[in-house]
Formats: sequence, structure tokens, C-alpha cells
Amino acid sequence: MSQVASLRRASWWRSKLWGSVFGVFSRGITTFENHSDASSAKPLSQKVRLPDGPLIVVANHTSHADSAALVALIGRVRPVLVVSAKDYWKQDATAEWLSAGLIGTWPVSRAGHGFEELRAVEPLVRDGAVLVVFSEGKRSVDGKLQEFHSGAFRLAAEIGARVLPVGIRGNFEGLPKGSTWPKRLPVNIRLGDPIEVPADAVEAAVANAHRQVAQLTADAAIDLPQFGWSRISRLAFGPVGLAVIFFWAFGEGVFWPLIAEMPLMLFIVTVGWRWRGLLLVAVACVGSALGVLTTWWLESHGVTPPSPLTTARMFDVARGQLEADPASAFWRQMFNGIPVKVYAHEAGALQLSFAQVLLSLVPRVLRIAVIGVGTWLLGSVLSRWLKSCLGMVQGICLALFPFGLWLTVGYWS
Amino acid sequence: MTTKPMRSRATEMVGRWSFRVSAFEFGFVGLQWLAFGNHWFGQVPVIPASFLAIADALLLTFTGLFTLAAVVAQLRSRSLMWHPIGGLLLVVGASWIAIDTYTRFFGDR
Repeated sequence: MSQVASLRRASWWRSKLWGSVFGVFSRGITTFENHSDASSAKPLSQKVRLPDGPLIVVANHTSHADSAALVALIGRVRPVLVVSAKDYWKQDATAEWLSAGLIGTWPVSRAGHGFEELRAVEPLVRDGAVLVVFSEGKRSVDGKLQEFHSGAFRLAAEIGARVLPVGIRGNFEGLPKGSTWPKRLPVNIRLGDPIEVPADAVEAAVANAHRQVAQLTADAAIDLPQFGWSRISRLAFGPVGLAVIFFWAFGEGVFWPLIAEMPLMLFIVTVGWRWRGLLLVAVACVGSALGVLTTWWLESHGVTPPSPLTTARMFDVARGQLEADPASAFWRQMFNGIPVKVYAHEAGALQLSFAQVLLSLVPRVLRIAVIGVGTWLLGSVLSRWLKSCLGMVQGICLALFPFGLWLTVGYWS
Repeated sequence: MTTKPMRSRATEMVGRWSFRVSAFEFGFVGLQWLAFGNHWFGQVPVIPASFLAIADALLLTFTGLFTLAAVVAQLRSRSLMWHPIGGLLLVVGASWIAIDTYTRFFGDR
């Protein structure tokens, strides 16, 4: 595999890593492809459009987080290398591993043969790697833009690459030089206009890039919700969200193996302090109750709906509990992992009355209501945090769910 | 005359954080041991047990690897702080408690 191909793959993984880190430790990265147009804002999960051909990105530098933010943004569309200070990032094995492994750096001396070392990256840039250079040479201690060195521009002139000025806002406020723990603030990355660098106009290109970066960093960072939150919130407030919650809850009472609270928790965290939260909870409760009643009625009339991912022991335990005390059986179901449809099946097989089943639905409805309202309140309290990372949090939860289900079914096997 | 430090700030930071993360995990696992031992979630809390067992498996793996990496990084710098060693001991303790908790729970059906 060529060097650029392996760099492309590594950059993609690094972009996912740093995107997740920014989702958790900041309020997310928003990119403005056209700095003068606020509607060009894109959350990190939407791929940014970069100019084609050899490209050198020149950005302001106020924080260690700058490299990570640019890798998170660029790495998902093109292989990326960040020029780093050799004296700082090659001090020992850990520093080298952090910079080379987690960021993907191209170490360059700040004294001596820096440009020769920079020039050695040319084949990679020609093959499509984006080179990120912080032309100020070091992090700004006061957040103000410093003078640019010309190395990146001379390299661009030599290899015919274009320079893309980029302004990063939010990292200085979130993780300035000397701090060890980030503040959760939004990060904005604004892309400027690409600059052609003729060999005889390097200084003009430096001045142009400096002016653009100064403009791009003039405005404070804007806080916009990330992709996952926006999409889920739209669903939660629409009829599709209500329908999904109702049929999921109803289905769980009949045959569906996944718990009713899953879509409820997924949607309700995004609704905030609105009555919509109570409506979602109510719909889940009604759907679940109707599902259980349907299964009880079908079973008591000799029809047995399928029950995937259940075991004979689950049915035995549920039957034993219903025979001993129908009123308390559903209370025991709350956390024991036996699906509610198993209890509904056995209630029908035992010919329990409609009143008995209706009464036994109290704990069922209570569980959904408590979990739903709890998640609603939690989502409202944590909305500032969740707006940047909801997609990731829910993705992880959904990925882990099958293992929880496997352990639960295994317990009752 | 000043001497050059043998380890970088990155190495020191990784060492300290390995201890903090391990201490958190040790406390988290200890709470679960108390919760399941004293039936805080009821008599047969299969759902909480299943999901906490998965969370522990992931967190302990991550913490263990992170702490080991911190120890190795400091050994390579020939300058060892107490933090990663303490972290490693906490991870071993936390793993022992977690295994004890969940083998009892899932083995005692």
C-alpha cells in the first residue's frame, strides 16, 4: 500500500477519534465553508468540500486543540499531515506517540534546517495529502494573530500547491496555552479563499493569507447543535417519531424483542422543557399497554404470537409468578429481564380476566413513565452537553445493546 | 545550572490521568459490588447487571491498557512516578471485584 493510502486510512480513523473527543469535551465543531455566508455552516459529521489538487492549509494557532480540530475536519475527506515543532513533540516516546500516532505530524525544526525538512513532505502533498501549517510557528499566548513565517508559502510556490487560509475560533477560549483541562465551548472553523502562490509573489501571498485569517477569526464562535441532535429532534417533534414510539411499544408487547423505552429514550432527550415530552411518554405507555392486552387476548383465544429471543425458563418463571400472585407478577418483571410479552402470553394461557391484566399493567406503565420522564429531565438538564455528542452517545448505546440482550437471554437460558 | 527533565509533560500527564481514571473505575466497580450484594436493584436485576457488566468490561479493558501504556512510557523515560503504579494496582483490584460480582450474579441463578 502506498504511503498516501495508508495515511488516508490513518487520517480517517484519527478524524473519527478527534471528532468524538471534540463531541465530548467541546460543544462540537462547526465549519463555515463560505465565511461570509452563515448558511454554509456544517456540523462535523457532514463532509467539508476542500479545493482539489495539492493543498496547504494555513491556520491560526492558539491551542494544542487546533491540530486535533483540523485533523477531525480534514481527515474524513483527505489524508492530512500537521507540521509540528520537532523540539517540542519529539522530546520522548510519549510525546512522539501522541503527535505522530494520534495526530499525524510532520516534525520540523524551528531552528536550523526547518525548510529542508518541510520540503521533504512534497511527494505526499503532490499525491493528495493536505499539509496543515501553523505559520505563526508557535501558539499565541493572548489569542491574537502573530506574524506569519513564509515556509509554507515557499513550499506551495515550489510544488504548485494552493494555500487555503483557515480561521479557528473557540480553542483559545477552550484550551489556551498552559491549561490542562478544556472548557466546553463551541469551536468554529472558517475556510477562506484558496490562494495561488507564484514564485515571485510569495510575500504577497503571505500578506493575503494573514489578512484572510485575521478576518476569519474576527467573530466569536457560534454555538450550533450537531447533526445527531438536529435530526433526532426533528423526528421527536414530528408524527413519524410518535408513530415509531407507538408501534415499537405496541410491538414489544406482542412479538418485538427490543424494549419500548429504546425509541422513547432516543427521542425524548431532545425535546427540552416542552409538553411534547409528556406526549411521547404517554404514547409509549398506551402502545405498550395495548400490545400486552392484544397478546393476552390472542393467547386466551388460542392464537400464539411468535416470541423471538425468549426461553422456556422465562415462560416457566412468569407462569409461576402469575399463578402465585398475578398482582405482583408484573412488578417483578420490571428489572428481571423477562420480556413483558412472556407475561402477557402466560396471562392469556392462564385465562386471567381483563380486570386482572389491566391492573397488572400498572407497573408496566409506571416503568415506562419513570424511565421516560427521567430521560426527559436528564436530556433537558444535559442538553448543552448532548447537543454536540448525542449521535455518538446513542450510537455507542445502540452498539452495546445486543450484548446486554445476549447476557439477559443467557441468564434465563 | 538546570538539568533537562527526563520525561516530557505529555508523559507526566498520561501518568497522572492513568491514576485518576483507575481510581474512578475502582469506585464505580465498588459501588456495583455494594449494589448487587445488598439488592439495591431488587432480587433479580438482570437488566442493570447485564449492562453494567458490559460497561465494566469495556472500561476495565480501556483503563488497564491506558495504565499499562503510562507505566511503559515512564519506564522508557527512566523516570517513574507513583501515579501509574497506583493506577495499575487499582485496575487489578477493580477487575477482581468486578469478576467476583458478576460471576456470583450470573453464576448463581
